[in-house]
This record gives sequence, structure tokens and C-alpha cells, in this order.
Amino acid sequence: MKRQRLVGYVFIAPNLIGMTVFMLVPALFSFYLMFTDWVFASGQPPRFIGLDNFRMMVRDDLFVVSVKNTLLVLIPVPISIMLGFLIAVMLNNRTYFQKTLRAFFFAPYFTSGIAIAFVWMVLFQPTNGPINAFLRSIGISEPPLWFASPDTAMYAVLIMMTAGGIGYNMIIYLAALQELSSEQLEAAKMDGATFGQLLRLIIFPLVSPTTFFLMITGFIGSIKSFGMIYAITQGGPGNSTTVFSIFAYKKAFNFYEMGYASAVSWTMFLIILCITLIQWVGQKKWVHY
Amino acid sequence: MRNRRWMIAGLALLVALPLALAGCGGKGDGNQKEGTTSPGASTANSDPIKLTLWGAVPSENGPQEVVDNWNKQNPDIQVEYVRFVNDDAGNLKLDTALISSQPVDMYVNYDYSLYEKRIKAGNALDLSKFSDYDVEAKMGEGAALWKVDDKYYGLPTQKGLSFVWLNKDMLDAKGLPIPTEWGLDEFRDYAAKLKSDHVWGLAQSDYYFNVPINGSLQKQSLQLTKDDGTSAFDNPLTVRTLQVYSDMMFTDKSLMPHTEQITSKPALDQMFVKGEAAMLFSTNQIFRTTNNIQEFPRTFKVAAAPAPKVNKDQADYINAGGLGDVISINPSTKHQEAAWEFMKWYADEGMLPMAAGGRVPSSKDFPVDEAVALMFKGVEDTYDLDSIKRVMFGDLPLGLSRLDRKTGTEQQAIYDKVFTQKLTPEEGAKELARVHNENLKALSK
Repeated sequence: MKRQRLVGYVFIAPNLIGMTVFMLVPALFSFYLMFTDWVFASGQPPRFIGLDNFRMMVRDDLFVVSVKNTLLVLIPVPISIMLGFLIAVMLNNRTYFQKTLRAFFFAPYFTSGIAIAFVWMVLFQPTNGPINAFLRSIGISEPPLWFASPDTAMYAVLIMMTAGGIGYNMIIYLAALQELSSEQLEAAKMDGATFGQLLRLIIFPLVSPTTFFLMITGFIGSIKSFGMIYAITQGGPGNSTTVFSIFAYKKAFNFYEMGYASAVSWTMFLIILCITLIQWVGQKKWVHY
Repeated sequence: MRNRRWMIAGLALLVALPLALAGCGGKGDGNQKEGTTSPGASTANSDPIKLTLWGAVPSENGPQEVVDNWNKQNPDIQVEYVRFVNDDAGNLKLDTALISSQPVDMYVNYDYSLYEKRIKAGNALDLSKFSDYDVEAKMGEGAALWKVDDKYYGLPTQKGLSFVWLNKDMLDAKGLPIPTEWGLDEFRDYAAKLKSDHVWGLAQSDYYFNVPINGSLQKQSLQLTKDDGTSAFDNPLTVRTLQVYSDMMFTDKSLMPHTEQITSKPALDQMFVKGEAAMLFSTNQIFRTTNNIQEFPRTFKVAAAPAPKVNKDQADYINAGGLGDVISINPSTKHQEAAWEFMKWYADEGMLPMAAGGRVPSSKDFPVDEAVALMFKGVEDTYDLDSIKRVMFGDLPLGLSRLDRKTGTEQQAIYDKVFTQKLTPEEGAKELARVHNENLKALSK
């Protein structure tokens, strides 16, 4: 028994060591750093300053902007879940080009996020982009500037993130839909349920654990979103797309303010934790196992 | 129970280790480790000294040839070139390497504030320990701008300034002479006349608005402050610069709107050689593209004009740039003397292969004619050499902004707002000063 346990530990050791060295230790180190004023590569050791970083944070205009923007990037999560669900329902039935369409919708998920970001950058190009060319062709003489304006950059980001989430949600829903028992659906149909009622009252509640899973992971992913936004706007123009992670990144890697950046990162962790706990408590009302 | 204790103890150790390393890793005391080996020491044993030079120029644009030449001539001191990209991520990589004892014997600085930061962190060797090379006598007065606390911590090896690249054929077609001195009014006028359906009158590198703005302030102070130590950004010349650029974008439409450019990320050098931009405001780095006529064929001649002042008759304007490519020695290297030998050779003769990429050596001992010949080798006919030489080897007053990096980065958001017309030029100038003042206050604590 003892030997068996030891063998088990040996098997998980590579992952455990990697996790400890590359995630746990840096996380704990950053927990310590958030109470210091450490500036990377300054030659000065970390100096304990208590909660000063947090005091500075709440007075920092850019932090407030980043909180607002981070809350905004939560919007694509339910929208892409709904769209993913509807597409999954459609592709779960027999349709022409079923496999091709599944691959088409899923493609953005297995493509590099940066590559997708650059595709959106071209699509949303204000002067020569196809989206604005289309808008001009239907009579909109001054189409939005999308990523190039502080007024519209965040909307462009939200559209990009919504589209980016659909494929993954669809695949997960497809798996869930194929697990549904056909008896329940047949019974509902025999009772005269319309397609809309079937969706709303039978199918959607039956896949609610999947919806819950996608909500949790989607919110966490959205709050942490960085790469696609940074690749296009670097948080601009005029800080209009600066979200938490970009704010922390700039503090850490542009200005080397590691203490402050750690405080921002742990604040982000706490917000994610709170949102997840709220969802966890709220699931009792609508998730049916 | 015992297992749990072991696990907790192990975890505590794992946390303590990086903390301890962070504590000792900094060289806050400024003590520089002395080199233990002289250049000749390696000949006593047969192993050659190995030096690593970190620089931002792609190795195929000269650095590899430089180190190959050195390695051939100096079998006892072998130099390896490591490239880092001169952006935030690349500089972070270098700074991490410097504090984590990775092999960095020498590195090139391209930005004063980072150079100063590295000195304060004890990551650049005070060169006054070497008495066999008079930096100012070799490099001229411009070198003194790189002094910190009246000492050199690096060798400025090239003359690098910002200037305007011109498509001479387009200028000729419009009957426009090559400017030898101009202000923003003339600059705007040229761009407006040169633009056409598929050609921007002007393209310029990101945030080049600060060149005329900072150039108008440097005479007063390299920190861009007033006599009382507060920010000098809020002044009529800044307002005027922001206004002219705004007019070029939105009234004349001769310049791609700034935020459209930073979010579309066009390759400006390629726009210029393809004839999609008649003028390009940038630096000598564009030589990499204009000299490469195999990959970027062009039929037009390239000419050059100095960077525009705000007003043509401005007497106190300082051109952005000055001396650059400042090579420093990592105090941790065991081979300080060997690194110093390499640096002297590089500055006085070794950097010749870099000339093809447009780097003008700053040392007076350098055979400049050879460098110029190499710079235009095989492409002489595609340049208006008179104007290029006038700008690159002329006698323009050169400066070096010491604006702190944080202010420079934070000001970018203000430029974004001015050039999306969220702020008026007057409000923009005030905001530039406000951000600068906040950082000045934080730095003085």
C-alpha cells in the first residue's frame, strides 16, 4: 500500500514539480511582493510598505478605467454561450455540410489567438477594411473607427471576444446534447411542445450543468483576457481598452513596478474568486443535475 | 501528520529561496565586482575567453559580421552576439539577464532612461577605470550627454538622429525642392501637395509628434523642465505642433490618422519604398529597407531632409538623436579588460559592417569614407547623396532627451486622445505637462 502510494507520487511528480516551481512559488512570491515597493532591476531589495499599493490603486485613474473595462469584457460570455448553444442545437440535427460547419465554427478555438486578433484588425480597418466598406455600401457615410477610436475600440474588442468564444461553447454543447435522452424529447414532442418550447423548457434546463461550466470558465477567461487585446491595441487608444491584465502587465513589464503589479494581480484574483463564488451559490437556483 | 510537516517545511523553503535570491540578487550597494582576468590571461591556458554582446540590431544586418571579423583577428577572445528586440519585452529580457547572472558581458543601450536605470542598479561598469581612451576627444561633445554623475558608463558608438526620408521623384514631379531647413508649416504644405489618391503625403513612426515638441524644450533642459523644475510641456510650441498634426490628419488628410496607424500597424518602411508614402519621418534604421532593393525594388531616388522645427526660424531647436548605440560592460563579467578591448576596436574600426544598415560611426578615428561607401554600396544611384550626407553628416545641434520612460509611455495615451479629437491641442499640452509633473513629483520622493 505504502509502495503503491509512492509509485503514485512518482507518477505525478513531474507535474507537481512543474506546478510548484512555475506556478505556486511565483504566486506566493507575488503575494509577498504586493506588500512591498519592489522595482525590478533597480538594484534595491523589496521594502515592506503594508497596504500602500492598494491605497495607490484606488486613487489611480487608470485602475478605475481598467476595472470598468474588465467588467465590460464579461458581456461577451453569456452572449457567446447563447449563440454557441443555438448553433450546437442546429448542428446536432441532420443538416447539409454538418461536419464542415462544425469545423468552421470550431476553427477559431484551435487557431492562435494572436492570428485571430490580426484577422479582426484587418476586418475592422477603418479606411480599407471590409466591414466599413460594407457599411459604406449600405449608405453609412461615416462608419465607426472600431479599434482606432477610444469611443468604439472596446465595442470592437467585445465583438471579437464574442465571436472567439462561440466555437468552444458550441463543441461543449454538442457533446452535452448528444448525451440527452431521446425519450424526454420525444415525450415533449408528443405532448405538443413547439421547437421554441422544447429549447427553452426541456433542452436548455437539461444542459444547465454545461452552461454553468461554460459560465464559470468563460468569466474567468474573460477577466484574464490579455493576448488578443494587447496584440491589437496595447490597451489603447487613450487607454480605452486597458483591462486588468494589461494594466498589471504595463505596471510590471513597462515600468518594472513589481510590487504594485502584484497587488493588481491579487486584486484580479479576488474579483475572479468573488464572481465564481456568486455563480457557485447561484447555481442552486437554475442548474439541474 | 509527519508527511504534512515535511510538505509545509518544503513549501516554506521553496518560497524562502526566491525571496532570498531577490534579496541578494540586487546590487543595491553599487559594489562592482572586479574582473579577475585580463585579456591576455587566457593565453596562459589554451581556452579562449568567451564574451557575449547583447544588441538589438538583427544579426544579419551587420553584428554577426562584426563579431566574425573580431573572432578571426582575436582567437583568444571570442565574442558571441545575442539579439534582443529594442522594445519593452526585449529590454525586460536584457534586464532579467543582467540581474540573474546570465552571460551578458556587454550590451547596447538605445534609450537614456534605461541606461540610467541600469547604472543605478549597478549593472553598468564605470569606464573611468580605463584611462587609455578619451571618449570626448574621440566622439565629440555629444558624448557628454551620456555622462551620469560626470562619468561614462558606456561608449556611444554611432551618430543617430531622426530625419525625414523623401521620395525625390515625387518631389520633382510637384516641383518641390529638397528642404534644407523647415518648420511644421512647410512640412504640412509639402505633405498636402504630395498626397494623392493612393499616396499619403507623410508617414511617420509612432509618437513622432514628440520630436518637434521635445526638440523645442531640450535647449532649456534635457529633462524637458522649466527653471523651477516643473514640466515645460505646456507651452505654445507644443500646442502648435499638436494643432498642425491634427490638421494634417483631419483637414488635409495627408497623414494617416494616428490611432488608425497604431491599430492597423502598417509597415511604414515598406509603404515608403512601395511609393505609398511620399515622405517618411523616421531614423537611419530605414536604410535596412531602402538598401535592400532585391527584396524591396524601387525606381525612385531617396533624398533626406532634417526633422522639421516647429517654426522655421526657431533658433533654439535641438534635433532629436545625437550619439547613440551606447555599449556598456556588465560589472559582473570576469573579463572586463577583454570587453573593453572589443569595445574600443568596435568604435574605432570594427563597426564598419553596421554601416550598410545606416549606422554612422561616432569615433573621429573611424574611416568615415569607408563607412559611407559601404552604406551606399551598389545602390549609389538610388539616393540623392548630397541631401543624405547633408543631413546625416551635417552640423545640426543634437540633443538627447532625458525624459523618464514612464512619462514617455503615459504621454502616448494623451497623444491618442488629441489625435482622436477627444482633447483639443491646448488641453493636450496641459495634460502632457500634468502627467510629467506627477512623475517628477514621484521621482523626487
